[in-house]
Amino acid sequence: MTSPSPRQPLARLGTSLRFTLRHNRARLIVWLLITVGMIGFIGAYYASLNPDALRQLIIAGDTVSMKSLLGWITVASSATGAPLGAAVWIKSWMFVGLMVCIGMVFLVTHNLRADEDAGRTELFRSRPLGLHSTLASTLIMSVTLVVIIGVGIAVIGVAQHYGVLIGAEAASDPDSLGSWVFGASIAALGLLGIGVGVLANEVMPTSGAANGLGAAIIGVFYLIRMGADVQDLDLAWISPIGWAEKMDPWGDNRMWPLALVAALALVLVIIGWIIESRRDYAGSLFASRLGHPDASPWTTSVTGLAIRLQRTAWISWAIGVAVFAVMLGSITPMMADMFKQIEFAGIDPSAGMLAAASMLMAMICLGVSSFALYSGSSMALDDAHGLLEQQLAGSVSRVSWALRRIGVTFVGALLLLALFTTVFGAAYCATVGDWSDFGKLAATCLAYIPSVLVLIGVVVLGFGWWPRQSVAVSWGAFGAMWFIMILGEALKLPEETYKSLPFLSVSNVPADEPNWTTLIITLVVSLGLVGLGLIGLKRRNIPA
Amino acid sequence: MSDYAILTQHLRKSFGAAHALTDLDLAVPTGQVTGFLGPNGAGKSTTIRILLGLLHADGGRAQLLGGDPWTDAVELHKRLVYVPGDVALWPGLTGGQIIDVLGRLSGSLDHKRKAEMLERFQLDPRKKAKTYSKGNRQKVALVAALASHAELLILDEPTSGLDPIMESEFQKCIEEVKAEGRSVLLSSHIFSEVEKLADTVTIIRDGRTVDTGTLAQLRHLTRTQVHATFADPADALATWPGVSDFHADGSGVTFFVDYDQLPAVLAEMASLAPTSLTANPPSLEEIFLSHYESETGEAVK
Repeated sequence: MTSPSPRQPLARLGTSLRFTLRHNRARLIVWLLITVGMIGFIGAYYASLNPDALRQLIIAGDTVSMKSLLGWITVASSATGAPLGAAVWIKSWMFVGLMVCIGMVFLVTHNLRADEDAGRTELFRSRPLGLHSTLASTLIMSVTLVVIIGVGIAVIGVAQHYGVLIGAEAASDPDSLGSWVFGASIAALGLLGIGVGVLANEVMPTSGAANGLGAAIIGVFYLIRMGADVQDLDLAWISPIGWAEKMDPWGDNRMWPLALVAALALVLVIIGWIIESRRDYAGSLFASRLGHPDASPWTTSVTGLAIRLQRTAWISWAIGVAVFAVMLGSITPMMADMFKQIEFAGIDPSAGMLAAASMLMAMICLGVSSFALYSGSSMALDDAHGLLEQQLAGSVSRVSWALRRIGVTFVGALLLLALFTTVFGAAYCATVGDWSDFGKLAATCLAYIPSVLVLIGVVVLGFGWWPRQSVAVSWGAFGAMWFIMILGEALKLPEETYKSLPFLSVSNVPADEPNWTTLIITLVVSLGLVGLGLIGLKRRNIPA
Repeated sequence: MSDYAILTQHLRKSFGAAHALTDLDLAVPTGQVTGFLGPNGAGKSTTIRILLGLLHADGGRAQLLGGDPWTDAVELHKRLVYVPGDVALWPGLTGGQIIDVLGRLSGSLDHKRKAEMLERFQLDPRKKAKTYSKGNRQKVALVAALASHAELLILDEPTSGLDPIMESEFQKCIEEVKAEGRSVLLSSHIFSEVEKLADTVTIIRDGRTVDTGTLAQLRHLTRTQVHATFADPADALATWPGVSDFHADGSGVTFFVDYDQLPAVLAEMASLAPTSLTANPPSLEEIFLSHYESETGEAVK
């Protein structure tokens, strides 16, 4: 017998919405600024280049391998069509789009499962709040955000004249529609993220699992599109990310795939809605099972416990990293022709394939290293949840506890990096048919040790001196590194600065020998950060 | 072995402008149970955190098992166990696994005792921590603490959320701990529990110790309630020194008498030949509340 649905499922929606908006106001503003801001920044930079330079950039992207990574639009192949729009699209679409897509998954989880995990939802639902009010508020908020981002990007595009053809005056026929399609295509990816996020939240029992499932689904969509774009651009239609790609701004200018993505998102939301109608508070499709009454001896030490708790996440990361490494390693050799125009970090253009590999590896190593942030943040989270207090009531010193946790984080991140560079190297060499570079490629992970340690150092510094803000600050620093790497030459940083930053300073490895001085300095700085953090930890109150 | 498991003198601690502790004296004699009472926000948890080396006192002295709680924390923690007021657990681990982890952190765990305690407190160690009710979460920390042989137990509202049967089980365990010569600091709001278990009690308020001593010593500030019935009216009692709130009700009278006047009043009453007599000593709750009324100047008379 099925029970009747609760009455007034959307009671107090207004209150719930006001609360959700208030609770997320910083996030909403940050998302808007970084997405619209980044594109505006890139557009302004490219607008300052002369049309020939712009054309060269576009040609550099016109290879099978780049298309598989970033996608493609028809106007980029045209001799006269909208070079500014094409260049901006190539540089930013996949990156900003994926960022918004996965970001929306996380935003949805933050407002749904995270509150249930913490027990806050129980408090809310004991009030006269409708069963679906929180879900509905989250939807209204995130859809509005995505729409505003899309509109913002479109307006930037029109203002910066992305649609202007080669040889035409800015004022004549600027193809503003193209900019609107551009904005809508990013909004489409945002809607996709919302739909996937809602379903993941209803299906999985914890916020970590929901985020993991959501990101994995988006990852699969991306890989399908990537596989399709390698073979034939028309195959991109098999992936929802491909639908957004096929909106083809300044080319075919199709708005209707937006409706298609929105429909898919709607279906996912409806499925999630139905699950929520039936499930228990804090329940999910997967019920909790009984576990062991005793802990295995190796999991009761500080180190062992940390490994045990991060094991599942690490394995998921490892699988994702390995799959990604195989695909990237296979397509990188095809990029050789692209790098006639490399101006990054002084790489010798004739180094060709290995140089392409180095640059790509730099970006992915930065991404993989974010595991160190995720793992390192667990220290501040333990403090916030009262677990640190309980552990320190035992016979372990603060510094010793922290060093063990840092060790687990560092080794975990290093193993993932090693996995990436080894599998990447193997795929690369297998594709090229020449294994002479394998050793160099596989050993690249070692060059990134100081950089990973800097990330860990930032986390430890925050944990020691301002633990409550440390998680946000660490991810902010990581985000800044990421932007600098993506925007690259657009930021017009002096080369000296560029070459001394972590990750960027080794982006030429293994094409070139690493700069040993920079490596040592980075290592010393990172150890200094860790040391300072530990000093702060030793003297502060617990909890903070 | 020193005489005191815990000894603090004039302890001070501030968090910015908020003065959590201004003059806190606390003594837990070795081998005894000391009750630690105070209203919410009085500074009990702050004191305990200082004793555990989690906070550094701004002034005053603190001594734990003969050592300094801040500098010797790692060494001293091998000899104590702690049950926090708000137990934090790792949601994905089972209760049994968490008990093993907590035991290992303190030193070692006696598995036989763990099994015995799990049985006595009726806790299923196979359930994941996130599925436990509030009381069961508390039991995880209790079992971990009581399964150990530590010489000092620091318990911060250890039975909050436990049902009366478990409360009684807890009291039995503490009696056993006392019999083994181990020391206990028991911070609690449950007066009956402290009354039954504590040898001495320290009452604090607004970061200062306002009274300390055995229950007998604490009673000096309070009154005993007496109810008696007489064959003949005994209104004269109302005027005797130390007698207050006198009510006559048919043949029965009820009044309060100051604790130190009680022997004299009872002796006088004997001469009036009461037909029944009940004298209730002040409960710990009355003692505790009297500190409030006397402090604010509204004497309970």
